[in-house]
Amino acid sequence: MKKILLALLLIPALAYSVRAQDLSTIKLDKLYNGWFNEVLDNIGKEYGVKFVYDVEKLSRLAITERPFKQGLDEFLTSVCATHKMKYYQATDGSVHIIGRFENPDAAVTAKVKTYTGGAKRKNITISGKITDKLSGEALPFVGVRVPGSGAGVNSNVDGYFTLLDVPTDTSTLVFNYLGYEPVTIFLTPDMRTSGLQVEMSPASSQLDEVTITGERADLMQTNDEISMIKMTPAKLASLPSLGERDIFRSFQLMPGISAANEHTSGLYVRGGTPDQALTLFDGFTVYNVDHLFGFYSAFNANAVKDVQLFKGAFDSKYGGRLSSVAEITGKDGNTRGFNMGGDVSLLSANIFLEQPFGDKLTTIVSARRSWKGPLYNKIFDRFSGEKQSSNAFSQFGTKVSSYFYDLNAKATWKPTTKDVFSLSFYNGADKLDNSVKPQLPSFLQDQGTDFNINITDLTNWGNTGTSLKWGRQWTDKFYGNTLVSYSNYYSKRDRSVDGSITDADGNKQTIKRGTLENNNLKDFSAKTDYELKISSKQQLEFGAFITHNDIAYTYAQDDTSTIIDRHTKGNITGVYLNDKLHLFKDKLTFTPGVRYTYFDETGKSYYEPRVNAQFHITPQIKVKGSAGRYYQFAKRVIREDILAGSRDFWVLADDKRLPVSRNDQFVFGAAYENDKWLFDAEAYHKKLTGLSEYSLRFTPSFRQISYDEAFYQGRGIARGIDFLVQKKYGKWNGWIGYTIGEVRNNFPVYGKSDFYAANDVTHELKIVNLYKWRRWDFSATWIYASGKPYTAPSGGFQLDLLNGETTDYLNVSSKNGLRLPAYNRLDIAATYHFLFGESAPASISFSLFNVYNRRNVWYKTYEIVSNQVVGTDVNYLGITPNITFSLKLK
Amino acid sequence: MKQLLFMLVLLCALSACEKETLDKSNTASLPVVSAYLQAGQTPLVKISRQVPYGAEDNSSLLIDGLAPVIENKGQSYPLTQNADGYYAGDGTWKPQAGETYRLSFSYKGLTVSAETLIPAPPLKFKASASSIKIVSFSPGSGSGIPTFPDPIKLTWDNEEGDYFQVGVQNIEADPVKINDTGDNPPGPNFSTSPEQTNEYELGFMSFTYYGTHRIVLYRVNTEYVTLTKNSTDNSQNLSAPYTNVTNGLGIFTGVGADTLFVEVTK
Repeated sequence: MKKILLALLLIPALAYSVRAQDLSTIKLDKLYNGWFNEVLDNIGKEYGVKFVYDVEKLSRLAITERPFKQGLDEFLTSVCATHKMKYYQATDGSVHIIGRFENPDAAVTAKVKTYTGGAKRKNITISGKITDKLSGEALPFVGVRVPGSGAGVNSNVDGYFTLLDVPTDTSTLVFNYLGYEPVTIFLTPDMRTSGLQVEMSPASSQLDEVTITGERADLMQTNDEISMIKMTPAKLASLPSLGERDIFRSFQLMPGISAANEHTSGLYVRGGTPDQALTLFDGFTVYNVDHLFGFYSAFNANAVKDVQLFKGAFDSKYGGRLSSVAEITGKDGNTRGFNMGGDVSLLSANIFLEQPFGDKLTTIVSARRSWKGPLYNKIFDRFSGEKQSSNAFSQFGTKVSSYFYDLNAKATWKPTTKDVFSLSFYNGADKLDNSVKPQLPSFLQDQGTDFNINITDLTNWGNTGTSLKWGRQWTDKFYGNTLVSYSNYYSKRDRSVDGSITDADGNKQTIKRGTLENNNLKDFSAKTDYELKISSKQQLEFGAFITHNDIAYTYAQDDTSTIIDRHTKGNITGVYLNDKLHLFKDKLTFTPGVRYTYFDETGKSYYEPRVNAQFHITPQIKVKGSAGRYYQFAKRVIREDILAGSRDFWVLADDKRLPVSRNDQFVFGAAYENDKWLFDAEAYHKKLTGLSEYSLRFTPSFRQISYDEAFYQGRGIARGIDFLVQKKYGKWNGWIGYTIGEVRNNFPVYGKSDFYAANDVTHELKIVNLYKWRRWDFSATWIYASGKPYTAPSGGFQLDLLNGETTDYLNVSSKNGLRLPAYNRLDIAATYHFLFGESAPASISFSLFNVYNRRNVWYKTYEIVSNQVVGTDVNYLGITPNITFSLKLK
Repeated sequence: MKQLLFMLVLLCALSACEKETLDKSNTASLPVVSAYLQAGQTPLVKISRQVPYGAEDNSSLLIDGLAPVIENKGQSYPLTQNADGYYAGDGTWKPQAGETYRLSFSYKGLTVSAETLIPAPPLKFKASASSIKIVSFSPGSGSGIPTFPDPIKLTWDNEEGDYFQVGVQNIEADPVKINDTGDNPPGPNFSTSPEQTNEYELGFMSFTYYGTHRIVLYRVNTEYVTLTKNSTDNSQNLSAPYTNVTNGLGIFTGVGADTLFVEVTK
């Protein structure tokens, strides 16, 4: 097939000129009559344009056209449209005619044009800024390379880049960004070397009839830095989704990030727990990433420009967490004009507005809110548990509202070409309400009695975060970024009965019973980060940070007795230094770094030495390794109450009951990557100390029960290997990810032996397929994960209590000694792209979750029935369909 | 490429060869003790076994033929079996408030033991009234919600911040329901959970039956509070239930009690 194609391309090569021409300057003004290929040949001879096409196909299409001083571009557009074809102009100036749904051939669009004159300067410095061609947004972390030389760099978070030691002023620069068409720039001696403006176009525009120049089809990019994954939210729409395009759910399709946790979208990365994952949104820390019992993550894909996830081995710029870092950069907003769009699904509605003010100020606001559609109710019923609604009054009551929402707003001001100020705001909340308001039976309502009782079962949680950032490109070699931020996470749980009853005589009885939980975390942070390019071989990164944490947790009963009342404050202060070195002709990238932290709650200093290295054996094959120490000061403790929607609270380590956690981690791996394929393997080993677990099983002292003593300390080991095979390019692409791993903990309170941690997964396999056919995107994902460990009862007993009642107790066998059945699930989706009206891109997406309705077990419950202990499975969600409609102005 | 594969295989091998040292302990055969010792009352200890997981077992759960002993200040008092699984003192001695008692017996080659302190009986336990009048109402009678009686307020001393539990028991032979509460009416007896408090109110909503009620106020130890506040039934948070029995399960605890009676009238 390839040979035939090549032959086809060569036959009509009427190469009169290789200079790219503006097709609109060629004005046609005569009758063209004949087969399509003959007409093109004639035009080619006449105006010196090189056409490339499939002779066989075009020789069957007849043309009769009489243009009147019509530009060649318009002429081709109209003729191609008539015959369901399209055309594009390659960088060498040749004009290609292809089928409407065909993709341009990468070989043809390969950049061949270079400057032919002599170079005037050598080892020059090139700097500039990279933006999105459509919206004008600055593009962060774009790879800039000089092919054939080792020189390469990534743009920073504000889109600025500086490339040192570019061999000559006639070199070629290639810009690569996930989800965007690659851009090639051919330097010429008279071109400016600083303040270069580079524009890149999003790749996924199937609707473009003109000018598609090659496409990198992958959704995720993994082989840039050790243990790092990049994702472009723009392409998420093609994955199966359960109501919402979800960034964190999509990351869970990569190896090393567990996907078998429907009840939380938090990231279980390489044996870590979600609280060991640092989540930064425009620089502020987000402490809880769950919406609707964790089924969705708290981030609106419409508000997100770029996400980078470090599965470990993150450098010393990041800290305060043991396991991983997800850095999310919000959109700045369109610089070219007003734009708006949105999505509607069975779960939620989502809208965004972008408006620039003058040249220097851009704004974006995006908001979404769930609605009580069938999908919402299904998830709500599954996860809120049946037990909650079974109270005595429920037969009279009605279910009241329950929803989640989030709001993102951002303003970006660029007063000069060197400064960027941005103010970002996020607010999201969940309100899960199973409350009932009993109605008095009608026969009693007319009796002059007042009956006012509320049975409250309310779970509220949410995050508010804001950051103000100032980024400045001081010189080509020095960039700085200073940020102040505030983040608040709250979680409230109210299960109570309150109200009053007034009788016929006017006597009033008030009632207040129940439990009230409240966790409120505040984080005030400031940090400043700098990058200094000393040479093309060395870049220093350094900075300082301070975080003030203020965490309160109360647990009260009956409005009177407070059982737990913790209020801790602490300051985490520190500095870091990172030295990025390119050695041995850029074959080796070696990054030693150190992070120093002073934590005033313990009054101690913490040093975290870290080192990363990557060595290219050949341009395709590299080996990589990392070693480092990671500390965590604020941690989340799970209060084991399955019926509660939000079951966690944050506390600060104090080195008494709650030790500062530590992770000593090693990563080693190798990768092979060519244009189409990536093979990658990384092994990791983590030694964890100072872990905390909270158990309801509190310890009695003489008269008081000390809840603070319910924190237990332990240590653990997490290790495993992640494998990835990714097909990056083509109509059919996707990946297979596999992880073998284990997580073992050892808590003396449970005995001397190790036990498998609750998040231990032995095998986890993910197969992700994406296929593009005409205007359709099809996708199928399959997930398999070994069963999670659980503790089964060895037996049960009934105990007579003082009041004469008996209560069931379950005695346990070894902790987490058994395994649930394996988790597996197939999800599929189909998305159709079309134009709504003249030019508004739209899509409609059909998605099916858990296609073969696998009954995956979430946990088991036990009860004692006629002299035996019986277990019952509680399952995750079964087969669930969804439809999403998306539309934007441009 | 071959080298790469070799490295991967090597890594797999390295990570898989460590020995398992995981916990395989089995506590299924431990006996379950249930005993509440009161000052001035002959001690009674119930000893039973656990029911197995996942298999039906219809043989008796009570364990007989044991020889438990209670010790205090170097004296040891053997208990004798008075029914299957129930072991009682011989009546010649009774526990004293403020004293510590230790239970021990041998079962399946292990010495099972537990220790507890006998708390003093509650002080100044009083009720604000000795009877409460509750009018019945029934749907369709047109009577509306009836007039509320004043609740009976129970009070006692608690300067030490001890835990107290109130147990209410209808002692009528054939108790009469106040209102028609459907097919599954609540039982005639109920109790509070242990709290650090010195009062409790019994209102018109507390009672379901007419007649004489015995109100027992227990001063309880923290070991009992711990036991009653912890009962989990799902695999995500299953942990061994609290016990103060060594080599066994259940509870061996002292309580201090005082009793009064309340009449619920029509």
